[in-house]
Amino acid sequence: MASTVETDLSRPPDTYVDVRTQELQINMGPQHPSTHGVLRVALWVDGEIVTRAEPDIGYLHRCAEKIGESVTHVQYVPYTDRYDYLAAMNNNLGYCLAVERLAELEIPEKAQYLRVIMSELNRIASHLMSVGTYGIDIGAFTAFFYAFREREEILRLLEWICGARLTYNYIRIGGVMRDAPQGWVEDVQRFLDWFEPRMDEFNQLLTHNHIFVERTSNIGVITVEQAHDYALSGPNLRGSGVRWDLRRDQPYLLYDRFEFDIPVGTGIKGTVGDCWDRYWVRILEIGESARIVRQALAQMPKEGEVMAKGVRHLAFKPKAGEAYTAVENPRGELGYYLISEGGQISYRSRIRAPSFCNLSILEALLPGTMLGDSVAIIGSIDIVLGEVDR
Amino acid sequence: MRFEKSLPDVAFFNLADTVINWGRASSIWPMTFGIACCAIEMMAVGASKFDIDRFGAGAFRATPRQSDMMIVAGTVNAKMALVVRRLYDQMPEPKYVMAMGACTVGGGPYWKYGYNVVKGIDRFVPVDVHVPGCPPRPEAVLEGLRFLQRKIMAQRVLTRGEPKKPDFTGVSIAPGTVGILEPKVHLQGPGVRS
Amino acid sequence: MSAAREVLEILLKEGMAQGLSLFEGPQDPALVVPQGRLHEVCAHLKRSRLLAFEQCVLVTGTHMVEKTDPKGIVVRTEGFEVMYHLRSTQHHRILAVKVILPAEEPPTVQSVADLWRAADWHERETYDMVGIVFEGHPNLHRILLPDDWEGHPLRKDYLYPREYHGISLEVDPQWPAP
Repeated sequence: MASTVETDLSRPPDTYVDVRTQELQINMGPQHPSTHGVLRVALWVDGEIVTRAEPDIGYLHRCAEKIGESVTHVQYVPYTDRYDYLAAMNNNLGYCLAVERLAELEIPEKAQYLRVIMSELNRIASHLMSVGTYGIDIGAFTAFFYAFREREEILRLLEWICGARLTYNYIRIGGVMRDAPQGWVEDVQRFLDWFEPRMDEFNQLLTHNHIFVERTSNIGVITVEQAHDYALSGPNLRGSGVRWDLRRDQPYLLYDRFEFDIPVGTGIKGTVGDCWDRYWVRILEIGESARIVRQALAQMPKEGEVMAKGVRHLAFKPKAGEAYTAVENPRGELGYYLISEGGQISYRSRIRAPSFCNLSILEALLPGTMLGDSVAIIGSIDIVLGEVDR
Repeated sequence: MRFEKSLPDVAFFNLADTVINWGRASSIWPMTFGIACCAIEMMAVGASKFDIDRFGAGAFRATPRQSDMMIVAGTVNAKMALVVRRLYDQMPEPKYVMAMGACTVGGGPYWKYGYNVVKGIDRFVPVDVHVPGCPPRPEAVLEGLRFLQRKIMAQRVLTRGEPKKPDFTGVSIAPGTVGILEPKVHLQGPGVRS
Repeated sequence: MSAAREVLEILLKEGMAQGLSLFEGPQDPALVVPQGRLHEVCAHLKRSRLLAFEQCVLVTGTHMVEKTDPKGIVVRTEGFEVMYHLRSTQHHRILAVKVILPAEEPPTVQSVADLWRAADWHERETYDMVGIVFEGHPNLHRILLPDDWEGHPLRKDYLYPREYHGISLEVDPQWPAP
């Protein structure tokens, strides 16, 4: 039956004209499967579009800096593990380097090699965790299980050398806790040989997956000016094209002896500085860390001391002074600013957490995006709330 | 008794309590509630190496209204305690709480100098099983789950009712109310450091 | 290593060095800026092409309590100190800027949140923990502690609270009190 009324598609139907939208304030609360911890984001939404976002933190504030002023330097090292719990070795390393700089200690060479190997293995584990949980945020559960399978292998190696899976307390002031046991070095090499083809499998699953690319490219673009303004560091800064890495630009430990590239985002799948770029930088960094571990294992001396001479652990006192020491955490620039007066307990120990600065960019990135994209953006910044709140 | 011997493969006789408890214990669905480092070990328990799904507890629900167990994994501080209490109240009965990690058991490493850390979540929610460790190994979490399953099997639902839980009427969680913040005697802090 | 000496020379050449001095510690030297000139000097540090400090890496506040050594010499004066760490990725430098505040209540300093957005949250945290008020800050509220918390924990004379909204925060009685 032919319709006698002409349908004019350029004019919206009458039912749409009277709909009034209202800005709604919703709470992406501290208990949420995709906030990577206890983060609360107060969102003001108009339909599906976010108009304003205010992150609310402090749900994991554990009095880090007050504890730093209450316990001795040697007693504080286990606390540093728990701030960025995914990259605990790097946290230990940062604090120990800061204290050793004040105390002007010389670390033996084998201990430095072991420190590099541990930091890089932990970097691989941390990036695997972050790409796996980013997959869950987007909706791809399988990638998480594959990433965890590799991560369990790394945790087995770390547990073999220091006894703990997550909070290691292995890198101590003056060196490392103990030497690598017999067979450990060969096992790490075997792990690296087993692991590198697995990353291709992971890339086929998630990285080049059409749905994943559609959901993360051209979303959450961070320009270079914005990145510097908010003091971003790590893969977030490198995803926007800035080739800045503290391991190469302000070398510490023995990083000037190794050859490795600094991957940056180049906008292959979308715009430079979008979520896919940051994710891709992390995937490439896993490969670079594996390269550094191979070189370190080849160069590490077979015999050597692992703890500096003359460190009196029960009464360790650095010299008086104040210094800021920064290392490259998997999330960015982790810094420790210590004010010491020559006593066993420091006067002020301030932690510069990379996730704290990385998180503040949400205020600028989220407005204008849709609600589903905000989850993708929060996941790509890769925050760890233990570090944000300390 | 005569029926049991004549129909061995068809009929099964037992106390209704046991059947109900067996159903509850074999499908405890936890809530995804990771707060801090222990959350990573909880995720490892859910992953393939230490599979928690083989014990029936693998379906992690994001909302408290559909979950049976709340695994509190991580340090709970003053700001978070109000949220934890609210989530606990939103869970329907029968509900169980596992305190995972040293921080939830008694404050953990922050027991002495953490000014806003609640030293043990049993100060404001009733806890069924405490799993110590910092963080506890995934096998320890599985042991805690097994302990909880044995505890549930020992419950008497039909004859004696649900087990009594402690009373926490003193905790005020209404937003915007300021509690008693004028104590008469302050606990002495580290004092003036000189 | 903080590049305070180099930066002070460049500032002398560019004519912005009135009232500035150098704090020579055994480790990092720091550029000491008087309270009234902070915003001006920081704006110059950011915009000058020879300096170009694009990132504000860290803002730290410290409560200084007076201390005299056994001979009666004052080793540490009463007051507050705010340290800013700025980084220039172009020139590969990191700079420590120190502002010394007298012991007044509340201690105030100019805010640099309009120059570097990163300083926004760091200043809020310094206000929360130490109680330093930043003039000109767009949103100076507590960030890590709940809004109705009393006191500033990183002060050296802070007393630990007993409870919060009915939940006890006391250490278990069987353990010795801190």
